[in-house]
Amino acid sequence: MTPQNQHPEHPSDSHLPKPLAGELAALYKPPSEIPAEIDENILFAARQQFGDTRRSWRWGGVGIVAAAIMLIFLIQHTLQPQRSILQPDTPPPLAIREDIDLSGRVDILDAFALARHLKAGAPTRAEWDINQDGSINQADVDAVAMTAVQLNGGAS
Amino acid sequence: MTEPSTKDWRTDVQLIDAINRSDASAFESLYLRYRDWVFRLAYRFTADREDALDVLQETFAYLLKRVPDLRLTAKMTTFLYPVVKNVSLTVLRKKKKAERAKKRRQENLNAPSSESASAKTDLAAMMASLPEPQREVLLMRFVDGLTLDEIAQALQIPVGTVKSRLHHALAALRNDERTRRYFED
Repeated sequence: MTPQNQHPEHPSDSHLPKPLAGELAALYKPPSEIPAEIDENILFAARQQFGDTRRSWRWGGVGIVAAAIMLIFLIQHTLQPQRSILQPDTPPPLAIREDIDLSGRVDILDAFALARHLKAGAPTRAEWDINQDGSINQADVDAVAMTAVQLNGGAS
Repeated sequence: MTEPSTKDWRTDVQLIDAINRSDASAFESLYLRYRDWVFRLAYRFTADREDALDVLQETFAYLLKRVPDLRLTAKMTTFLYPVVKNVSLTVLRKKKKAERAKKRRQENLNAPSSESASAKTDLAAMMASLPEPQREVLLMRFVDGLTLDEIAQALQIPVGTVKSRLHHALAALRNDERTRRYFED
């Protein structure tokens, strides 16, 4: 005997009047469609991750060495926080600068956060000019995504 | 809530397998197949468009993080439901917007602009008065189109509990003066 047979469904519970079902669906429907930028961000993240994954498989040991170098680089910079304070003109370390959502790590959510920020037209911060071309735009979103993927790839 | 069709002929299981082999086109097909479903569900939990878009992105970011260990042991919507729910709750907690969302929903209910809006408001008010577990099961069954078994699996509760919650929710709708008319022929 299955659990379902132990608790037979009441016949009147098996369907909802069509008008009610329709109005329920309408009641919980979002006010608008998904913006194309959101689609692009998510699919871009996937393409970057898979592209990076394939590269790491292809290069094998080289990827491990690169990850080790990246780790040493990050440790050196995160263990020297005083340098940024004493030298305000020095740009923040790469991993910190790209931590857009201030979560303490750089991941694809930082790219999403920057993209949303730009789309909303909200004020930007100078350090978000990741590619240092003088403006903060989609190219910087792409740069954050690229870094996130590289860091993920190095960690995995 | 119907699942949008895509031109990709592969099943969800085949798409997941391909995604685990780093096939970006498979991820795109899966995304296009389920993005609207995820967005609508997220909107239901958050009652805020921007939050729902955040949940949409974080849900698919979560899937990406699980590659190449994604395993589909149930229907895709059953698999996605707890992910969307948990991400939604996290987003709400993080932004401390749960109360604001609830208030906004209430404000919308209090400002009907037409007769149909008023009917919609009656239904919304009735739904809001249902205990959360009953409302959740009712929407999963009749808006998301999940079966009783799929609901039980998604919520990790016995099927008997699903039936009981559904029965009580429908009884409340039938007996409430704001929604009784839907059941009268």
